[in-house]
Amino acid sequence: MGRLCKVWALSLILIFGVYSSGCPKGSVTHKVTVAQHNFRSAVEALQNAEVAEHDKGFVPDDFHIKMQEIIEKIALAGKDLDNQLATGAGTATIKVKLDAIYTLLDSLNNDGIFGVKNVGAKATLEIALDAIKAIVDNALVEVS
Amino acid sequence: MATAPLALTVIQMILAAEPAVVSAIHSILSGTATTDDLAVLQADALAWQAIADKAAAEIAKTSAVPKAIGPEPVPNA
Repeated sequence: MGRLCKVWALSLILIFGVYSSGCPKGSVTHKVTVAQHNFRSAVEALQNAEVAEHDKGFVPDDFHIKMQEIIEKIALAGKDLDNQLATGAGTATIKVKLDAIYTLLDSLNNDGIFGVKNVGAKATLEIALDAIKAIVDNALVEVS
Repeated sequence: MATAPLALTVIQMILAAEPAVVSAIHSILSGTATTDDLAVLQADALAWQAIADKAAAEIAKTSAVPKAIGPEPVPNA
């Protein structure tokens, strides 16, 4: 019975130790993780906005396809970044990934949003893109 | 004699019942992220894939729409 108590005590200590460990909340990885979470929400918002504007007829099919192609690449890059963060990638690796994402965001603007003729739709997409860039900018500051 | 297997069983039960503990252990082993970070990253990776899937579906749907059939546009005179 005494041994059983010891086992439980050991288990409780293990659990407490596990829960109370880890990097400080202010670590670079934590900050980039938070940014990454916000970044994903912002990209999702832009995708939904773009689909809505296309469905309303304000974004031509060819631009719609181009922008969704780039959004797909951004999403896969975001997933890759998640995996890199989870495996403890260094700041240099994270910066390379973020730079690549930034290039895709520029492409989204130059090859997609820039060509949208409808003023309202264009403004909506530009605001959504600016929100994404602001988040990535903050993440880049953390790893620079 | 039965202590070691029992301890193992207890820990296995705890791990099976609480995935956050598994993440926490991973956090300790990697030494790079908090438990919350790992949970967020795992959920985010799935959500990113959903965005990519939606984009692919939009591309396929739009590409499949046949072009409007009608007379060729007449150039401005």
